[in-house]
Amino acid sequence: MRKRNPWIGLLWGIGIALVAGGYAANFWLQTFYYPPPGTPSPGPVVVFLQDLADNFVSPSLYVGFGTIAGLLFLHARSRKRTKKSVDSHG
Amino acid sequence: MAESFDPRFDPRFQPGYSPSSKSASRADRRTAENETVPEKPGEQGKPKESGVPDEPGKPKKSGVPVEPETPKKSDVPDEPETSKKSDIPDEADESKESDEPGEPDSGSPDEHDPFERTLWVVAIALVVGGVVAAYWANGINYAQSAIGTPWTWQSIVQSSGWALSSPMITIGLALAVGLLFRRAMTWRPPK
Repeated sequence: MRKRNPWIGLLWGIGIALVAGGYAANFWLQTFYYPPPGTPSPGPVVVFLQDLADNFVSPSLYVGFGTIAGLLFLHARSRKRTKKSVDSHG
Repeated sequence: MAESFDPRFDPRFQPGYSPSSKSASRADRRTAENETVPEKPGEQGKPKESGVPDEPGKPKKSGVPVEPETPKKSDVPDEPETSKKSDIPDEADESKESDEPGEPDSGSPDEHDPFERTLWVVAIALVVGGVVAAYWANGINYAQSAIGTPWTWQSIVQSSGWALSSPMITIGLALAVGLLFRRAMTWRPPK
């Protein structure tokens, strides 16, 4: 059986996780916008996580989509090479 | 039928050649070299420039003497390359050009590359530094009034932290993903 490249699988996982995580973090952040009056502060841990999410949303979406695009380029290139080698040998 | 190869060309690239007839074809070639192209007097005893096999269909340029006893790379019969290539997955084919002798065949060849290790450190430092800079800049945001206060070193560093944190995190993540791409492209299946 043909062996799969484990790094390609890892990169697919990272790309999808970055996009989904960035989108989910942005969605989670929006729940804190415009709180009703009298809402207590969420606490230092949540504030830290808010900061973290605020910083990671945009980069993770950029890098996630870039990773997926790069993987598609890689697959296109290897498919072209396979086709070329089949054409030359067959 | 006796093998008769065109003496102008390398017999290995002519129809009817088989590795079993190596000695005969070698003799043919030697005879052909001696017969067809006379040696120039200044080139006698000159060593052959490289062990690269002659290209098919290309006549030999000169009658440079070939040492017959030395086992040359070009004398080794050609192995069928198609079977070799088809065993390797597509992604691994891309690393063929960059292969260097001495590299391990299995796993990733760059595991001990100091340059790659430095890049990993830079990637982690960029991500962590970006997060710390943004967290620190957000923390001191309300320490002083933003209205009517002159520019201080702290406010300059704070705005720099805000400006730099996002690119730092982006480039750090992209660097880490790029290093994983490099691993993926140089990966070869274990034998």
